[in-house]
Amino acid sequence: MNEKNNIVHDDEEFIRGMMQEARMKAPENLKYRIMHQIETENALKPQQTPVRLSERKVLKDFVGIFGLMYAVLAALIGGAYLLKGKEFALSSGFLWTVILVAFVFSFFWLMTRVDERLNDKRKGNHIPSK
Amino acid sequence: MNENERVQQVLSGKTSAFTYFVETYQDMAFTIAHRVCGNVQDAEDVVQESFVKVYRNLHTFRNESKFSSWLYRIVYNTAITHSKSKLWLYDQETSLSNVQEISDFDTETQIIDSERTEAVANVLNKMSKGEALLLTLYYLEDNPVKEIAQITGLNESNVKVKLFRARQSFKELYARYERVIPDLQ
Repeated sequence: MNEKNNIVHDDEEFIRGMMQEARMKAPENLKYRIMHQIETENALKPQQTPVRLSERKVLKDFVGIFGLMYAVLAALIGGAYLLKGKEFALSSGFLWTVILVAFVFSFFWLMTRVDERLNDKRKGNHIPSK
Repeated sequence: MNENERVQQVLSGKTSAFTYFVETYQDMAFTIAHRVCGNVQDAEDVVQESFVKVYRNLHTFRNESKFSSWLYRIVYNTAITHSKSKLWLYDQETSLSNVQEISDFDTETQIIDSERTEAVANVLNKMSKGEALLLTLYYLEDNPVKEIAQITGLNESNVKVKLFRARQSFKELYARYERVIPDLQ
């Protein structure tokens, strides 16, 4: 059994040794051909990806921030109506509170847009609007 | 820097980072393509096409497998499509059972002139392309059976059986060389 294992092991080593001779080398110019094709395709590709990504992010931020704002306003108005009654919910004092909440969220949205625009400029992929 | 970081670099737009992958894997990719296609010109085209495919689809690469396995699978599939060859069939004249086998190994003068490298290349050419490819993947790259299965699309037990047969064929064919030219080993 041991002898058989040795024979199998020897065969393995023999084939392994022989197979090292079978390693082929790619031609020198192949690397340049590949990189040239990739770079050419890249240069010809319309630069749409940043726009799409950016647009998707804008929409995501918009839905996120204003969705939350409306949820907060709904909770605030609902709470005021249930706890303090219709009179309070329609009072000008409460209206100013609602406006303040809307203002805070809108300001936050504005900040995210400014931040994103600055980031785009820094990365150099800002696409000027037509 | 590991390969995953390099992949991220390429994905972030640094095309030149892809050179690393080409330099590291082009020889093995070329060997695989050559095993399947059987000639240098087609192998070059297959390797070029494969690397471009890899670049285009790099965003789909998941770290579930090794980058090399993923790349070699693409090279393998591209080569199969390109050459439309039947990997697991012996040609009629290269069949092991063929009695004219020794005269198939070129003329005696050429054999005497040949080096061991050439002898191994000739033996591999006499084997079925699939078997030669399995030996290449197993012994040159030390790929485990599991990864060879991923690359070739065969199941693991099938790979083991075919590897066993490939070893037998290799030994048998090489032994014929030795009989003709005993100082090869």
